[in-house]
Amino acid sequence: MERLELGAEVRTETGSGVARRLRDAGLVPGVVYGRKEEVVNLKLDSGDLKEVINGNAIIDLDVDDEVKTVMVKEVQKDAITGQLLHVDFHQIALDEAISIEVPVTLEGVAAGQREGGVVQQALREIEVECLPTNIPEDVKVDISELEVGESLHVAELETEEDVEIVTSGDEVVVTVVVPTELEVEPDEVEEEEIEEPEVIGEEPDEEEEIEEEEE
Amino acid sequence: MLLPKRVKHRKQHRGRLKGKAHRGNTVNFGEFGLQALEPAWITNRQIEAARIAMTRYIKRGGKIWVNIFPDKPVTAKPAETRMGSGKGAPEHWVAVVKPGRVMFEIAGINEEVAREAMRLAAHKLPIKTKFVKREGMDGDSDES
Repeated sequence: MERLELGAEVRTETGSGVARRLRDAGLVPGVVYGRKEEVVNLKLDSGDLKEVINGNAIIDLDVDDEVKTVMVKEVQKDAITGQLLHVDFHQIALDEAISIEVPVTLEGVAAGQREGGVVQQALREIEVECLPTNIPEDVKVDISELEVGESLHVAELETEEDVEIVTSGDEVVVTVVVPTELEVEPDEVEEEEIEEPEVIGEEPDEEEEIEEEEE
Repeated sequence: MLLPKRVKHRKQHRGRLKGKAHRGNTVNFGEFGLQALEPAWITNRQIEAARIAMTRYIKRGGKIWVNIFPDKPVTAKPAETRMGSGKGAPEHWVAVVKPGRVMFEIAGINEEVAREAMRLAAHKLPIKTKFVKREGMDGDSDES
């Protein structure tokens, strides 16, 4: 399991104005919590943070010379610009099992793909329970025998011995579907009549009402 | 064309288009998406035109998701009508789109084809858009 280091400073001020000024200065507000210890507000360098937030890495977070073992719990980003807005760190113990989301990676080319099917991955991540040191990078799924219309479920996934899957076994991971066909459209010169949907709680006979409006 | 099957009221107030999309702002179903960068009312004709442009380009293969639905009726008064005598008749349907909304998604094709399909679709829409990828996929997105 990857182990990274990150520096942070304690943040005493809170509120949206403070957070905005921090972001303008190239910092990111954050918080660390867990293991029944006191919640600490942080400020971190956005450049350093970008290097550690991808994947399930264990981070040695140096908060004013006190090192905490943490993992990234949640990252908030601006939907349009992608700017980091806030980060949550969860304190962990290396000898206590945790449940965590792990990506599912597809391997091979599905048999159905050769017949024109499209592989559709319904589940990109599954929840597993294991020790922080045993977290797998991903769970690999061999899809080479999947035909069109067939699917693979969570129950069919294989993981290492000390990694337990928490996600329900009934959930579909990947399926091979029939591709989108180009619909043959009728000519553009269709009747220009505006269809109106049915109004809930009203009689379908609306002709009188329309006449009244016209008057 | 898309329109609701049943509605509670025939006419609606226009409302305001403030803020950004706080939901539906990530690629959820497919691998690539087309994200709105401006607020707008997207009509059902525009949605249909964009969908057809994408489907025609990718021909066979791939899967498309349309994440917006035109559920807001827009009314208009007939031409050369005097003002007054109430609100006009419903004329068309629109989807209310705020900046950040991922309107279309696509999967099962390579990035180059997806980019071109989304570019063609973007030309059918009245707003600036951005090509986006699912989180965790490498690379940047670009605007058009």
